[in-house]
Amino acid sequence: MRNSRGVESTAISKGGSEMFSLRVFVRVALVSVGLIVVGLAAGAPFMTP
Amino acid sequence: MTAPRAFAGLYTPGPLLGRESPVLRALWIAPVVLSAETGAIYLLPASILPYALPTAHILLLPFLLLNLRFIGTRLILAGLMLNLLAMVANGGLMPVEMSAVEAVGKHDNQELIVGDHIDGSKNVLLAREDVRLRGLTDVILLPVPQPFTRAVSLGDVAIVVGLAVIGTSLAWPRLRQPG
Repeated sequence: MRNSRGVESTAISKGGSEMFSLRVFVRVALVSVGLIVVGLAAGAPFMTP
Repeated sequence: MTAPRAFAGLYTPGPLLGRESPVLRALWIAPVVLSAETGAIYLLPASILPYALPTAHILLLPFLLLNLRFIGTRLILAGLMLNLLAMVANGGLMPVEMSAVEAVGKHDNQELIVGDHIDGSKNVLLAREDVRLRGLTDVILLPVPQPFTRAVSLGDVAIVVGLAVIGTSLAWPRLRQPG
């Protein structure tokens, strides 16, 4: 992959970028699930008759 | 603002969902409370539920108080307190009326007894005239077809709005309260 100045990025930087994206994705997913759990714990709407 | 930067508030270092996470502190409390509530509903005798369920709800307070810097958390806290108020005012369980149970359609009305806990729920079936603080109880019917129909309370609505506000403030950190 080349950057805007036409310089090829190194394997290390590409790997780091992928790891960073994966980390952000996992974090967003977990926080989203966490928020849903907060809602369920606070209101327990699924436990209504 | 680009999509990655929109979630800049989530980039902060720290163990995922851990106590030191600066995003939402002590988020681990939520699944613990949810497990306690679910376990209480399905495992405890109905006579203990009026004490166990409000107590389980109170266990969520530390999480909410630790995250008061989020405006949405304050809404969730308000919703939780409204639900707790309705439950305590009606003996410990959230009251629901037969009309709401019929609209939801998950239970056979013939098997339900007014004044008894409804199996698999946090609710007690009460006659309309016996419900205290009726406006705070599960009287709002979500306008969705069965089997997704739910009877929810004003507190539940505040909680959902609070969650939406938190989600937005995580995506756009400028909406977060300072401090």
